[in-house]
Amino acid sequence: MVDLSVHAGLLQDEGLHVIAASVDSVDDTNDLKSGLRLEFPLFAEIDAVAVARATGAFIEAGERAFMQATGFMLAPDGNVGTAVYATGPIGRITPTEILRALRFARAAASSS
Amino acid sequence: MTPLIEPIRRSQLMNERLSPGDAMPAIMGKDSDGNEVDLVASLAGRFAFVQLFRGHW
Repeated sequence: MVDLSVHAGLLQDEGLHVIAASVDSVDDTNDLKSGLRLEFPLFAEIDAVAVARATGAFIEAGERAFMQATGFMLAPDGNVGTAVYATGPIGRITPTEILRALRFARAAASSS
Repeated sequence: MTPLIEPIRRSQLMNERLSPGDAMPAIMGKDSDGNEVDLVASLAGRFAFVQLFRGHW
């Protein structure tokens, strides 16, 4: 999240809408947003099990289930452009890769 | 609140991964005011990046 927060402005300047979500409470999410000074929407209290079933995202099971980091690039039609799944605490798509994927998707859309 | 999911095997929960071209399913969550919203519906019509993160753990 820190890497994304640092580079979110760059992504938004390219016209990409960025959001993030976790199972955390609304209060904890609002604290995180203000603490990191995030300038994109954060969403709270997603249902880890339901999201895992719908998207194939990995979760950490147990007394408190939570999401493993998962990133989805979406096209304007709502379809997935690319998806990156982590199975544990490491492995995330980087802002550079997000930007590259965005530029590729735009080039592909303009050539079709 | 997500219920205890043990002894459900993790493999039972995780469907196929989404591939390029798949429709992104709805993801329900709460905004900063506590209103329940579909995160994905809010992104319609534009290029977007959705990051699911671990939060507190």
